[in-house]
Parts: sequence; structure tokens; C-alpha cells
Amino acid sequence: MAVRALTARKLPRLTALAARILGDATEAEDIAQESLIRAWRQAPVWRFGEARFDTWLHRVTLNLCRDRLRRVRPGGPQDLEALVDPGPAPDRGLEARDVGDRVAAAMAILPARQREAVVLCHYQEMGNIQAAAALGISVEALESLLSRGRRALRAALSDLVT
Amino acid sequence: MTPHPDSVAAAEARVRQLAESFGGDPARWPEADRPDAEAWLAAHPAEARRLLEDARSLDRLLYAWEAPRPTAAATTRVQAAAPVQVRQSQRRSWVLTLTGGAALAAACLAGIVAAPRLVDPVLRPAAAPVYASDPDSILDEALTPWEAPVAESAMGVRS
Repeated sequence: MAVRALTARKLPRLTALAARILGDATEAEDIAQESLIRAWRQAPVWRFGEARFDTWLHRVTLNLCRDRLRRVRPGGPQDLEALVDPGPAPDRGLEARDVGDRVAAAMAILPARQREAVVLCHYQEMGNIQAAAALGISVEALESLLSRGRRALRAALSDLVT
Repeated sequence: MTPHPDSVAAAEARVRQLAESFGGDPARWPEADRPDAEAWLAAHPAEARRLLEDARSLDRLLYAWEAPRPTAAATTRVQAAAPVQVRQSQRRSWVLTLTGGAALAAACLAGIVAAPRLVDPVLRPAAAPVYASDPDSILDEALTPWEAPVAESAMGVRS
């Protein structure tokens, strides 16, 4: 019951996290699986200290994402960068999927730490204390990353912000 | 008593920072800031509406980026790995415990008074022993202090 419940609760959450950090659904699924398998391995000797289980899982997933980005794509998520500001097709306006692609592209060109902060607080809906713990930084530093990240996103998506 | 203009200006500046950093939903702002921020919002409804709506316009846009869901195959693989990983890890922790016990016994036989202090921090398992034997029970016991009970009825997936 616990294994099924934890998988159902955490695998979608970690897959979403990794997908938004990496910009690649297949790699994201691999990393989310690996994170949960590491959790199973830790279970009999569990010691999270003060960290919550969810924070611990996010930290593991972020570290795996960083390793993957360093190893596979030293220059960052280049596939997504190609999507930056493609503009609407000549014969139609932007549809929901196009908007999603534009957001993904704008996220991809953020500095890594800003991207992580926005993903944790906006998409993963973490509070500032939990997100700062997952990133290993102070809440003040987190707020600064968020502020700069959202400002950059607003500028990159200025034609879409109503 | 009317609040001092400086404190009103400071509260407004802080609310702007919060909206800029955390978005247009005050429920997601840091708890420590919320009482003062909500007081300012209530006292300045027109300005609050403009400020929050501005932040929400970016929030809505960001939500247009949908995340992929895990495949059924990934879910199956993760669930299938649990019993194997938990048992392997449990075996390793028992080996450490036994090794620690044997080392302690040998040290005591040799009459080394300081042995327990030397052996203990190195060889003791990383956490209190978990006595449950099946993976579900182990996970339930291990997570109880950090996570709400792992009942399926309590599942809330946010992605």
C-alpha cells in the first residue's frame, strides 16, 4: 500500500520537476524513477534530519538533473532555446500549446538557479522555506532568484502577458 | 491611530516585492510576511487589485506549460523495484550491525576500555533499526515522522 501510494503521489511530481528542469520528458521519467528507487534503498536506514521527505526527494531529483545537464548538454537545454520567440504562425494566433512552448523556451534560457527556484515555487508549489531547503540556500537568496527569474520571464514573454 | 506614512510605504514596497517574487496569490507568499501584507491589501483594495492582477497575468501564462505525466511502464518499474531495494538495503544494515557487534565483542575481549567509543559512531546503522520486514511497513515506519500517513485516500498529486 505504501509503495503504491508513494509512487502515485511522488512519481508524477518528480517527473514534472525533472521535465521542467531538463526540458526532456524521457530523461525526466528516467530521473524521477531513479529518485524514487534511491528512496526505497534509503528506507531501512532512513535519516532525513529535519528535512521533509518531499524536500529530500526534490533535492535528489535536482542533483540528478544537474548531473545530467552537465554530462549530456554542457551548454544547457539547447533544444528549448531554439524555441525562443518563434512568434505566431502567419495564418493563426498562438494556441495553448504554442504558449506552453514559448514558456518552456523562456524558462530554458533562464540561469539554472533561477529556473530551479521558479520551478520549485511556482510549479511544485513549495513554500519559501521548503524550496530554500531543497536548493540549499537562504530564503533571502531564494526570493532574489525568484524575483530575477520572474522579471526575465516577463520580459521574454512580454508580447503574451496581458 | 493612523499608520505612519513611512510604514505604509514600506508595507507597499514589501507587497510589491512579494508579488514580483511569489506571484499574485497571497496564500503562496511566505507565512511570516502574510499578516502585514494582507493588512495592506485590505486597506488599499484598488491598488491591491491592480498589483495582484499584474502578477497573476504572468502566473496564468506560466501555467500554460504543462508537464508530462509518467507512463504506466515507469510506474510499474518503480513499484517493482521497491521490494528488492528495501530488502537489499535492510540486509546491508544488518551486516553493519553484526559487524559492529563483533568488533565491539572483540575489543572488549582484548580489554580495550575505549573500544565502544571508537566503534560506535562508525559502525552503528545510520538510523534506529527498523523492525518491520515488508517494504510497505518499512516505508510507513520510516516516513511517519516526516510525511502524513501514506493512505491512498490522502493522495494529492500536484504537477
